[in-house]
Amino acid sequence: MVGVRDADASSSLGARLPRFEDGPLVRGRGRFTADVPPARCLHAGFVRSPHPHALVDGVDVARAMSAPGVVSVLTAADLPHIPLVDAVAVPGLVRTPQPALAGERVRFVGEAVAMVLAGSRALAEDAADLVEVRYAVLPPVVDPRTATALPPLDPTLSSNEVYRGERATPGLEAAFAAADHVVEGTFSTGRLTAAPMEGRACSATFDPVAGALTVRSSTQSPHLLQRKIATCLGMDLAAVRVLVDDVGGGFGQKIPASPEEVAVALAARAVGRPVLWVEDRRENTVAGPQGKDQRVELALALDADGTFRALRCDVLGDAGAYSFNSASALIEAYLAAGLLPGAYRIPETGWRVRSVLTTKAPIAPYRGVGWTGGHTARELLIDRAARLLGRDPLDLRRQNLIRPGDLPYTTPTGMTYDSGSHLATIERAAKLVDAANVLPGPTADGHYRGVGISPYVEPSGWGSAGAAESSWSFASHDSVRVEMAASGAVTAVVGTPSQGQGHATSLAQVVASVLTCDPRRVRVVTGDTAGTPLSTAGTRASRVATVIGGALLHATERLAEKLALVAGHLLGADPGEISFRDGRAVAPSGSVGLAEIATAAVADPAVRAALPEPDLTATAFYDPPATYSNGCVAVVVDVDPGTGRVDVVDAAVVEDCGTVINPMIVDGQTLGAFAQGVGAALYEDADHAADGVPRATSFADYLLPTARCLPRVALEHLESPAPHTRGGIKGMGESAMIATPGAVACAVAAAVAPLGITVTHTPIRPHELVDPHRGPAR
Amino acid sequence: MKPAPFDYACPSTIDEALGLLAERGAAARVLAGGQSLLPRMALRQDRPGLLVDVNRVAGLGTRTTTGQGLRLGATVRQAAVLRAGSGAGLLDAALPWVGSPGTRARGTVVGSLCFADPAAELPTVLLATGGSLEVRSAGGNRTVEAAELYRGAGRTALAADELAVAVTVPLDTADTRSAWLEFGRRPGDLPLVGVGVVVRVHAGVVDAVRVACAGVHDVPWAVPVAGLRGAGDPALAQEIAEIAARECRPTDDERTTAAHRRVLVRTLVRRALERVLRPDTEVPGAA
Repeated sequence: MVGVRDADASSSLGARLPRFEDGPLVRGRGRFTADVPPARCLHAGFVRSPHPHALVDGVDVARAMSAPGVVSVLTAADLPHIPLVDAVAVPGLVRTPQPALAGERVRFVGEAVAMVLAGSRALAEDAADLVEVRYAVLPPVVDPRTATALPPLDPTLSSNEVYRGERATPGLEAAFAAADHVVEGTFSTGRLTAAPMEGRACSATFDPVAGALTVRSSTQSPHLLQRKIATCLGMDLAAVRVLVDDVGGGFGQKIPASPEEVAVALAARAVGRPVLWVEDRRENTVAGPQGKDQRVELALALDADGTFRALRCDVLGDAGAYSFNSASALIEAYLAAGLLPGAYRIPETGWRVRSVLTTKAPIAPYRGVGWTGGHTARELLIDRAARLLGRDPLDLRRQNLIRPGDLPYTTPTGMTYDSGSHLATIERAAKLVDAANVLPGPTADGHYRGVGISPYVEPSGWGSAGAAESSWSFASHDSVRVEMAASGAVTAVVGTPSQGQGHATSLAQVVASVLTCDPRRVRVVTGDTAGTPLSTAGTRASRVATVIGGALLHATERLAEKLALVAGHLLGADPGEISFRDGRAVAPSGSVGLAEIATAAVADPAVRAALPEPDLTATAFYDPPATYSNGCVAVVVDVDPGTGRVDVVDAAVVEDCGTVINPMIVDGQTLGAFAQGVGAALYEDADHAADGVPRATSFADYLLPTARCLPRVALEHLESPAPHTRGGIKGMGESAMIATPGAVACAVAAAVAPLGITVTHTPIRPHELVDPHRGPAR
Repeated sequence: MKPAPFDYACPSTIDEALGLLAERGAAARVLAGGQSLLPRMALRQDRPGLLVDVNRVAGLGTRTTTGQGLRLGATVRQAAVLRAGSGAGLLDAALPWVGSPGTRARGTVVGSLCFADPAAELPTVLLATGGSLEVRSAGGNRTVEAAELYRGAGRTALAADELAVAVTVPLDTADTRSAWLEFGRRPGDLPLVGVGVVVRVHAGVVDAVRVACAGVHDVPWAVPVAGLRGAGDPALAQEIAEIAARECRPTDDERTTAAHRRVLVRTLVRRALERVLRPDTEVPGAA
């Protein structure tokens, strides 16, 4: 067989290669949606609801229409369309479509009720101030625990509960009855927002002659957006083209199609001029999709010796105002329950999952989607169990973790962990922070110290099979195309845009590993639904390395077969004798470079005479089997009980994502997710006040962790290649965001346990860590 | 996040600036460094009809030493004072906590004083040091002492037609010791509570103490310690910390709880005083 990587030649895979895209991006030479305004475009500004819940009695646009620079002011009545509705069907999930502009009723603060189109964004905002909306205010639905007692947000619903499901293994009740100890706890993870550096943005241009729409968007899922816009506008899929250039971060927030994107497309068609909307920070913070927000009730059954016997959970998810997109209403609570056992051997599990609508911005996936909340709750519960049993938390985990001999291991929730290094990663992480020598509790300087050890499993690289193991019906496959030009330069065409993950580098390394060429000879092209092969799901779910990487391996191998045919002709060798080394095709009779082969294939009549189709294009499709990465996050914190200040003073992440394509990119993904995890544990809070109004409206009050909030993080990589995916590649983009909040929360809980303070939710706020009744701390 | 429409003027003399303020009254706002005002305008939380940019007004950028202390003109940047040092220990101790290097490069000392954010460092520094603001209007000049300056969150004793042209901060003497401590959610954030202390220690005895807190009330708050005297040891720090915790009247708000603020007052007052009362503490300028 030709084109198979051999160990010597595949040096591009696993190389710590600086990212090709970094130079342009850090020099300000990226090309974002706002950098490419369509000619003659109008700028959109939205009129947004100040109320969490109200009926819209009327919208008076007269004053706004006469404001300087205004071309049009549109309301729901002006833009009839099919509302956004969930493409994912989960049995039992009630779907409530979300309109591009609210018509009769607003359901969260920030929901758009009208749209001003003007010559500039500033003029649009001035005019938006003049739109008069008459609201009849209704009671907000704020607390998910009481949401079902309030009238449904949608009159067609019987209740605000949009999902309820239960599942249990047959031996669950018996295991609890026979247990020596049952440890219980209720934990909640706060509402977050992904806070990408670039907010959402899109432009739309309608061509009335061709009847075609061109949309440029800051999206993670161009093909998904194409389908949504075509549906909402009643257009054929082929008449909608979605373009994506650089995207300044997504983290899940830019997976779902946004109502604003639909509104922009509708407006461009209605008004006959291109429309550009560039979301500002306040819009993104208040009205953009948010994440997390779960309440998890847990019970763990243990033997007297600490062996885990059973784990039961009751998860309540706060879906926000609509159950509209990417099963967002359910995705949090449902995924939390599916990964309930995490990295542990727990023979019996049971779960109850509920999801309710509230008058808050709708929930979308956010890095570690679903898993973070369940993981954090489980790890806090295990630490609680260790304290009750008088056990070292590390040792209790070690006792119950999946061992090498257990693999492949099928969890009672139906996931089959294909491979991993669960014990090895926890030992390394604990050693890197010297956990054995961190005594929890008071230190000489009057502070309190604690260590948190958080071993994780990430259901990664979702293809359809991986999704199915999470009880999710989800088409998650990709096609790719690899082409070689006459110069020998390679182009890899994929449907998954990068939001900063470094695809231009890592995917080039994958292709180059097959051809044994310099990865710089490989250009990765993406971002145009008219030219890229279909990516059903886009860039999400830590899937690009596995799905696109696997597809590219296959396509490049097919290309290599074609190259071998040409090379065989040129070298007078049998194609079966050809191998690739250092960017050359090598036969016993000699060797020839990729550029010479490509030139010959295009221009040499003798080659074309001998070979019927010397075409250097190859495509491949890939829908990988399920695979699971693993690792461990360990942190040490220092708590000052005189102020409530928490310092993360030491940290380590030891991860195992199978075959590593580029360790530097894995490092970057890990550090970024770690920082977001510290933010989730200690700083970030998109909570709503009791009146339903969001507390955070900008970065002044939505507290992202800064560099000064973070420690130096020790990073190590172990490699357990996936036995079933192409190249042994697993995904890892979400790992540290799954496990870091739990690590930090466990460390804080351990530190303040001697003060009689318990930790039951994130973010942990300073005032919860001081005791006003205690004497002055030093 | 585009500001509402506003007029803009960039006068070159104080009289011209005062004329604009007198003419437009409360609709006008003075622009110095703009590090607080402009973000608020971008969020349309402030909608001034006229911005009077004083950055090109002659004479406002000077730094001099007078009989009363260090005098800083209205456009002197925080970063410039931090870089050169002020000779007032508490101001030097607090400035690194004000915003971030980026905001300090543009932000002015006088601007922060006039913005009157109850959690900001500099108004409380002014109170603890006993400084004053020099104010001009078409009607004449006046001096507003720190204790008289603040009327509430974002409100000062300045009339709409008045321009703060300079601040004067007393310089330390050989026996002055001072410290600033604060607690905010993240480095660079406005503190939940900030504490400034200035003491004079003479022959091992504390003969003057000033303690002021930011973020506790709607104006900078002076802890009532007048008349307290004692040996310069940590017991005095403890005593004053308890007085401060007992006498403060914080409230719950969206940033934290009243109870937390009270704990912070106790902790930070005590720690700040321990810094200056501990015999081995090196206090710049102290004998």
